[in-house]
Amino acid sequence: MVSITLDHVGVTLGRHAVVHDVSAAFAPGTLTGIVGPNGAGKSTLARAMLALVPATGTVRVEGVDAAAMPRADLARRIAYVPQGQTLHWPLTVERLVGLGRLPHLAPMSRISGADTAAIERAMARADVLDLRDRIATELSGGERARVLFARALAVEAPALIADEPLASLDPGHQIDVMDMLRAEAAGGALVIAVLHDLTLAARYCDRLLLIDGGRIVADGTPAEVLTAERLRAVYGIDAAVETGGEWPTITLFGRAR
Amino acid sequence: MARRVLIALGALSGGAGLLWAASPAAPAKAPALPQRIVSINLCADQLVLALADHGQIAGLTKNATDIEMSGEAEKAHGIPLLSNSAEQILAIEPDLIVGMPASRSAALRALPEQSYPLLDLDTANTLDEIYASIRKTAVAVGHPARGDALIARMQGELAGLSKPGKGRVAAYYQRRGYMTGTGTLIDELMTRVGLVNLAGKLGKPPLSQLSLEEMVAARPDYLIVESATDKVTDQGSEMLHHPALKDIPRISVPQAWTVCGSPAYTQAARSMAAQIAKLDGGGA
Amino acid sequence: MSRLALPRWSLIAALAALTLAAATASLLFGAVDLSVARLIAAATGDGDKVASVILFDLRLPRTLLALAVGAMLGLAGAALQGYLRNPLAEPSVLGTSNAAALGGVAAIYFGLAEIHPVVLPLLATGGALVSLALLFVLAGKAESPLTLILAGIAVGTLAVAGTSLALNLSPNPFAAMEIMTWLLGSLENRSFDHVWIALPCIAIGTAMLLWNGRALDALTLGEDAAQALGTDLRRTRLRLLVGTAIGVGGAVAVAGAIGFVGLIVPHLIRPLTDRSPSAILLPSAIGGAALLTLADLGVRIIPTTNELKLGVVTAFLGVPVFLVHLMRERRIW
Repeated sequence: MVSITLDHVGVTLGRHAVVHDVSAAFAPGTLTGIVGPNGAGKSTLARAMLALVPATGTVRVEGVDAAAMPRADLARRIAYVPQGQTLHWPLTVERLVGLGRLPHLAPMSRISGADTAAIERAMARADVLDLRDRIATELSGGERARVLFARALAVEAPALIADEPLASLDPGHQIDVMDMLRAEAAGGALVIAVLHDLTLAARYCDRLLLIDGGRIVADGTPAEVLTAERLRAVYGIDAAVETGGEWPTITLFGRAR
Repeated sequence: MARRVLIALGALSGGAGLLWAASPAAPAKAPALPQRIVSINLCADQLVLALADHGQIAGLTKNATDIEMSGEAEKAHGIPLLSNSAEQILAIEPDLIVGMPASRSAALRALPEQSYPLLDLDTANTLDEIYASIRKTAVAVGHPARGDALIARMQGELAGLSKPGKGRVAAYYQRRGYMTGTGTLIDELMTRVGLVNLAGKLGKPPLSQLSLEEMVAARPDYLIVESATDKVTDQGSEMLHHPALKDIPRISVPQAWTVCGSPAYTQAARSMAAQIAKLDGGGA
Repeated sequence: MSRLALPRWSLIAALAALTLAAATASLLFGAVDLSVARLIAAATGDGDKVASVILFDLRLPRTLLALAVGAMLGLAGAALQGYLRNPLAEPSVLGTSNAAALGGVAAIYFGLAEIHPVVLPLLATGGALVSLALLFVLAGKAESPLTLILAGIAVGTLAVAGTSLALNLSPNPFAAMEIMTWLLGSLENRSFDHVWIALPCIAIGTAMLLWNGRALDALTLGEDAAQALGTDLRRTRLRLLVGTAIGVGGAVAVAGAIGFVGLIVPHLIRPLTDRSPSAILLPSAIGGAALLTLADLGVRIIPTTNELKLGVVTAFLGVPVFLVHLMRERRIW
């Protein structure tokens, strides 16, 4: 069972302190959304959890300091879907998804039967089996998002961090991706997603972390976190929040006066 | 229209007049015993150093003291070395300029109003041509007797020379695989010691390039190389040390003795003959 | 990946066969016409002296160097392209070959190479290392291929100027005439001495570069994702830098700065693979060996007064490839 704990984590990029003194604990089986305005430090926080940026404080994965852990070990525990749909070479979908097995391959070994099976499972879960022979760089935005997701699923890590997985996707595909994240969490994974869309965050996440100016402003269920006052304070918007249904619905009116 | 033609013609004739005025004045006559002799060519340096008094010489080329290239290098110490500069010549006010040839020198063309006494020498490719140059130079510098004495000495040194080559084939191999052909001084030296020039056998021009493969296939009996290339200092000389050539016996002669038709000719001939004899005596 | 296992090995086998054919031809042809019978006799030990010397002292080292240098340049191109995520990257375009040439020139013409034979490849490697470090500082993180190429041009031009200066300053009056050989590359008149200088460097460089296959594949997804997949980017960069510098340094020390091999070969090989960076590495090495050996054969067969420089042939082949890529520059690959 994996767990991620943040202990007074801070990140300074250049001369800016982008993340200040963030402490939080994440448990498996939950989908946590990290939301907040632009430049709040959400992506940086996600990258700090993967030891991709130097940070003060400690990030513990399964109780072990992530910065001290060998990269391959960390890679087997947390799968990462970075921002943007970076793809430098025109690999086939199957080959691309296969890259997710890299943390499991011993230095000079070839892909094994177990690896192939994991790749098949990942492609099935992300619903890209029919795309397996297509060239990944020729796919549409929505297809590419699913393929990159499959790549992360192929790692079969107990935790998954996705940074703005919904960027430039149409509403239908956004729902597809959120469904996949939800399914993973339901399956027992520890899922963290940096999101911009408050509606989808409210609908799908078990827990929200609202970040502003590099600090946690609120931490709780969507209903607890997303109040009209908070939205005004953090985003500078005028909105109404309905908490009657299964999840809060947000109606935006405009900029706060 | 007519006016324009007239103006054009006027400009043209004016230009022509300027050009005519710019052509060098006819050279003056040299004094019987020149006291400020300037040599503007390395080979001319050799002759002037060999025949004139030290005090008569006012300028030599910058290679004159380089032992690699100048046979009379020791005699050249203490004499100003000139680059190809018209200013320097002007400052010296020479009473004899020796060149190969002197009359077409670029430095002199920059001084068209001056008329210095000039001595034009021809490139010497045979021994007789060397003797002719010696005589001409000796007369010009005011010591005709020395010229005759030098020639007599050279003839004496060459008289007793054997021909140890015995008709064997040699190739004069330079940096980068350049090979000297027939009609050259090197070629005459080879004949004098009894060698046959490979370039002649292969029908090559006075200067050609022969690749290592071709040299190996040609199997000359000797390779003649410049002594400066005995040391590897660049890729050109590195080539001459290629293992493929290791089985061909070598004769090494300083370039200073062969690049110019000069009194050093006899030293070159004797050195070559001695080296051939040594290689013969030393073993197969 | 298991589906492509067979085609991958058949690609390598085909390239190996091509290379073998090229090497054989390289031994059979040269300035002097030697019949096959004579050459075979020489190879088996009872040939005539001329054929033996030509075969073993001249053609054999030349062929071995063409194979080794070609392999190193092809591999360096493939590895640099994979790491920099840019299909135009390769040692000569990035100025590394010219910088190595500068090191080599400094070693020979200032007499340093006489101290010990290892000084020559050492200085060439040093030149390559400095240029690569400079390049990484200037444009290592640039997303645009243009920035990288421009930085490479800057570094390369500086190195060429430095080389010309060094040759002109050298106390050896004949040094300046050898610029062409250094800046265009040539395998003329090479001997086994050169083979022993270059081969260890190329072996080390090849090993260090081939080791990076996985890291290069992971970089397909960008630096962050690659690190999150367990790649140690710092170590990868170091291996790449040092491996390229040593291998290209050794190659240039004996053959001059031959350009474009690392550009042409991966470009030709990529469509025959699954396009992942790791799949191109070994085939590019073998393909590079074949290409350079054939180019070297060409300069020996084409009848010219002076032997053509190798770099001329590779440039004629390489510039069209460069232009094709440039015209496609809007696509990431």
